[in-house]
Amino acid sequence: MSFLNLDGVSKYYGDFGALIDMTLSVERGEFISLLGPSGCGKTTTLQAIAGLIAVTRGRMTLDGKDITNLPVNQRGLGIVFQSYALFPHMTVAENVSFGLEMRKIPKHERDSRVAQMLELVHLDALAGRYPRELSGGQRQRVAIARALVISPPVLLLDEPLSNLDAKLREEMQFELRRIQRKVGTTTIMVTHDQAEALSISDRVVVMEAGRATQVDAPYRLYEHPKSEFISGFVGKTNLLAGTVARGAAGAEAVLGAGQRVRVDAGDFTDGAHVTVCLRPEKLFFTDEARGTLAGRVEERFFLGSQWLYRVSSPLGELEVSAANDGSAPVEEQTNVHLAWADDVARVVAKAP
Amino acid sequence: MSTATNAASRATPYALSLPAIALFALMVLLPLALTGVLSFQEYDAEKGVGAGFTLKSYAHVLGDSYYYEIFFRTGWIAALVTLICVLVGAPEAYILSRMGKPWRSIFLLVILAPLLVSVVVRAFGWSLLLGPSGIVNQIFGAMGIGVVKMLYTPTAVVVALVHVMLPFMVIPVWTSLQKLDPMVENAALSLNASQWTVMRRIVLPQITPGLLSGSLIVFGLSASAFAIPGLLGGRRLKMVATLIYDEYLHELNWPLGAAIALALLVVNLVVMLSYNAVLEGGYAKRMGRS
Repeated sequence: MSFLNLDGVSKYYGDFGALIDMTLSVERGEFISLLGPSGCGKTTTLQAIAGLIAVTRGRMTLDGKDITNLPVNQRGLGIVFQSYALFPHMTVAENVSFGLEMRKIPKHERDSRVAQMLELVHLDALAGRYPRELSGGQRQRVAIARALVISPPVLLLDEPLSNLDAKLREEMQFELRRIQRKVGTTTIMVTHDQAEALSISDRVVVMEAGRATQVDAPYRLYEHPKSEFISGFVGKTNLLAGTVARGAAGAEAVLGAGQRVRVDAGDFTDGAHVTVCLRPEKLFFTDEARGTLAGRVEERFFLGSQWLYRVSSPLGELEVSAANDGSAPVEEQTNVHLAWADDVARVVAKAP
Repeated sequence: MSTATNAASRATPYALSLPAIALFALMVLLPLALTGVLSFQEYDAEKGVGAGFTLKSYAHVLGDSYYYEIFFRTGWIAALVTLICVLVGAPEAYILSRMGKPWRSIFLLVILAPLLVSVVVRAFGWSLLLGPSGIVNQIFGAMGIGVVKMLYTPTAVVVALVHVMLPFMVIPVWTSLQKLDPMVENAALSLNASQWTVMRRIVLPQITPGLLSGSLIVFGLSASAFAIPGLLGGRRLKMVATLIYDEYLHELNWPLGAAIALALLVVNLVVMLSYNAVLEGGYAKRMGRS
């Protein structure tokens, strides 16, 4: 049995299912992200694990013990709240020390553990400050230190980076991962930012309308999304209508204008109508001889590290991205030919 | 920008606050100054208020234990009312802040409702309830306790004052509770704090400013209350405000009344400022308010 188990956990408000049959196994030391749009149930999942809400159905175990009905102040999990929820009337050191005081840790040990933790989050110089005297990033680190100092079996992070500006958020992503690796605490993070989820998690749980729809490692999730929604939510994608054609050489998807793409058709039967996902960075410009698809560049956007083109083609409008490798980009309103490698296209069920 | 418009723009705030300053000077400072002047004037039972400067009225107040007794009674009644208002008002405000949508506004209205009724009417209401044949004594009688004298005792005055003053405690505490992030309590709970510790260590320190201002308002208003002690304290149980009224309108000794009024003002100020200094000092250090 895994370290933390959720077995069919559900939360209903009247008839509305905020969380439906959530089943998840988390290994010790794992970093899991719950990813999804707002209202998908990711925060509800976190609150259920934290004990902040009572679940309607299901069972949760932590390290073999049933915690389903344990009140929040007996679960002993570390929680970092979206608003950080620091104690405004206490200094940084007092904030961090509070959890140890509640555990009746003697003063000298408390002081050394607080100092150690503040050093870990690089706040040792600010121990005497009050939360209102700190920047957003510093407050965030106080919140992490306060949650981690009690050596919780599980650290829960509720959109921990959403209140930070873009530059700081990126820094804190790596900082968070560094701290988590160092202390090795099992961590569950809620986020709506797919880049954040992909960059720091061991596994990502994609949630949609109260249900977990895919649980996978970041790379696998990105490369093998299980539905149209996931392929669109995690990264950019071109969705094309197609039909599965199974032959002796393997499966192919036949696209709108008769193009054939080699795919792993999975369980789809011959002739099934499917959606083919092609990521913009998998498409590239080439000459007519090697091109699979002719098109015309309608618009071009500069994104710094790459160029993003909007190309009209017989299959509809496609997004194509190309690395900014220093060579001249393709001009707008020129005719181009597109190609992609074998096996980069993914087939998913057509969304109803 | 030219210096002329610069000077004009600097004068604007003063010009804008002029009406308020004028009103304040006319309605508060002037009468206060006149009272001050009056308190130093001669008084003779035959000839009334005379000219000249004397400290006789003050000497009279300071030299008679009768006045000390009344000042002391006023002080402890105001302090007790403040204490009860803190003990009742703070939990009330907390419960109010935790109520759901329709109930919160309904109960807020219930708490504020006493303010919409004249103090005199409320005092009469209490005298009907607490009188020898009032509802409370009828209930006591039915329970076999017998008639308890409540009207014209400090109990009646304290009960009625608490009723009148409670909104002045609930509102400031409620306001400071509004600024509280509810997640902060959850954060403390997640760190293994008990519900009681959360109250004591997390919520209470954060509503201190509300309790502080509420206490100051309640104490100040209670110490200078007139209608309630006048109607529920009766002729014999005097508080300072009723005493001043008697000196002015029954004894017609205006200088003595003025002296007592100023003495009350000074005592009230001293109590409030020292209370403020003690509590606010500790609070300011923690919250960094200056």
